[in-house]
Amino acid sequence: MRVLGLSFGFHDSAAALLIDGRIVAAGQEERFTRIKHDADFPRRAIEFCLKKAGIAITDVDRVVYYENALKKFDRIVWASNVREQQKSNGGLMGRARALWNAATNANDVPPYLRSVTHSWFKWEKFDVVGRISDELAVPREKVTYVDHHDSHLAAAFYTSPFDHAAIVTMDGVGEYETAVIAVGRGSEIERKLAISLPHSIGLFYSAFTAFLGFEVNEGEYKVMGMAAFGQPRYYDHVRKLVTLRDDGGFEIDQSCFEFLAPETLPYTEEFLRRFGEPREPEADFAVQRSDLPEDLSDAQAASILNNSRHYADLAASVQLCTEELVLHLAAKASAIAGTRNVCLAGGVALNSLANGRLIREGGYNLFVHPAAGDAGNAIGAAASYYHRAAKRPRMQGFTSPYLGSPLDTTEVEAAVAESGFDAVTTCSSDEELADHVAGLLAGGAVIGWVQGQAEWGPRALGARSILADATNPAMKRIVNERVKFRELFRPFAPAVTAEAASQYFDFEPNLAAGAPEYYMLAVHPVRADKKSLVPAITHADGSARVQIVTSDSNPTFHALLRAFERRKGVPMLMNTSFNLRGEPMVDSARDAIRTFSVSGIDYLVLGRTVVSSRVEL
Amino acid sequence: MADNADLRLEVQKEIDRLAAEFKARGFDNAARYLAANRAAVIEIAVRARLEPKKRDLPSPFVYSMQ
Repeated sequence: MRVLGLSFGFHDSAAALLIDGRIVAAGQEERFTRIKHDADFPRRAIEFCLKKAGIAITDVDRVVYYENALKKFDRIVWASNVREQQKSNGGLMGRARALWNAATNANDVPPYLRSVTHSWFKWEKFDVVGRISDELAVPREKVTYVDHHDSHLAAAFYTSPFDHAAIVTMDGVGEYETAVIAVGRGSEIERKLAISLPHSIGLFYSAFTAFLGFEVNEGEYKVMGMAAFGQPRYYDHVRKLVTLRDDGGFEIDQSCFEFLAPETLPYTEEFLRRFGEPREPEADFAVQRSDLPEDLSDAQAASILNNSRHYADLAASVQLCTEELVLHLAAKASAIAGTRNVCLAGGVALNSLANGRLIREGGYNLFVHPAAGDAGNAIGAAASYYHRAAKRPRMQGFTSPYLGSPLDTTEVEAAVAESGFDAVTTCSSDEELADHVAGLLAGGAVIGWVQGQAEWGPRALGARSILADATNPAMKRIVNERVKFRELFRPFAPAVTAEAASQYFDFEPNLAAGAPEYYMLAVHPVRADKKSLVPAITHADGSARVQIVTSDSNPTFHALLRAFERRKGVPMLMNTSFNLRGEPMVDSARDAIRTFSVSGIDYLVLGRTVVSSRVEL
Repeated sequence: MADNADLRLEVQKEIDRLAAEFKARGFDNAARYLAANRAAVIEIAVRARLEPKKRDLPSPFVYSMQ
């Protein structure tokens, strides 16, 4: 059976193809169109999936969309109604407005609902089945959909290595639901608890993300990064906003948030009264005077340092509170399911700090779908249909995150020839490549590394990566300023051989397939005696978001790590996604050369071809 | 104008069909909304369909919920 799963229309469009219980291909539209978080119909991703499988769209048995559009619109109307009711009960002006509207029949569609209705008609979101049928020229009968959190549940459990597990999904909001606890056994998923709007961990975290001056659905990582510079000084204030229920659920104090019908901001006047002025986007951030320009006056520097400390403390407080929420949900789910196996999906599952605590403190065998956000629901939708509607036997779990575009060697040759870079070396084997590139890295070079099929999910895992020497204390600043052009407070992650991971990080690596560290989805402390050895990947609080690599999971990358160890004594590299700020990760050889040519990357490695940006004399 | 008249007719039919589908599926909030605000929704829909399809998103937070 061939099932094509689709996620599009909101953010992070993607397609995935499941054939007879095996994920044959999966890709995110942004990688092909070069538009970050592209939400459009995933034409290019679908083309890629079909091409990879060598089939036509007519060969596909079912196309499955990742959520129930009509139910979602019903929620939008419900939420708007509730909000309007609250407003009309909320004081003289509100009541006067309601009376005026009732008397004149004016403005009978509230602004939020008017705006959403407009958007839904403009982008043809109501008849998703018809849209897919038209776009792909397939009969309507071949197209179906599943609920949003059913897609997340399926992405979390069916791709996991577990036959029996607790499942927790957490995001902003799907149709009505924002979090679900379920139990997975074999091919069955049984829901146990659902939390619905307005109570949402994802929206809670996103509201603080917006308050801290970052873009929602993009800047959540920055909040995690900023949290390391702070102390949870405002924990009590933030914690007061959350009530943990005995049944595993939770409630969020709505006096501070606008989650029902947000016209602009997700927080209220009451929120501002409690937490002060929001941080300006792109505002300077520094925790020590030496991070600021020398020509800044003492008064200006003091102001920036004070503000930075305040916002970092708030980020630390929100992060801590979110971790407690996640631990609470996981504990209840695990108790209900009667197992320590826990599967996560939904955007909140990308909170790698929380994941680290689940592993170390919770003692769970954790699986996190690598594309835990809505892109991953392309796989989730297909998997949900395959098991729950088509009643097929359990699909094969995730064996590799490298499900995207392969590196086309013909394109490499053509792209390099077109590029004008003439300092090119071609290695004859992976061993020679590893040794050559390790030498460049040890000499201080920053490397663009493109190998094999691209990663599924937001993390670069040694297929579309920028690599550098983890032992070089200057490297964090070099890569930030010369290559990534991003905020200096953001950390860089390490890739380390699995066999050496526990020597450097304070956790016991689980080498079973699907462990979150294979996908760089958990943060762990760097061992105290090792911090000075790997300063480029050690964050302000002494932690790192670890990727473990084995000779099975990625042989070429593993060989490079071992070759680097022979040069520098440490089997670890700084590993960050191969993209510039605001752009999606590179996909093709041409994308890589384009990014290489406008950044400060020293060498570009495309398969076994090494291109230098330096003029060789 | 003729085109707009055709579009209006098309949109009216679509809204009536949608209202019926919402009702049939038990999505009463949406069904009641379309029924109670039919004229206003037709105007919104016609205007939306006449607009060029370029991204003019509200804040990412608002958009993420839509």
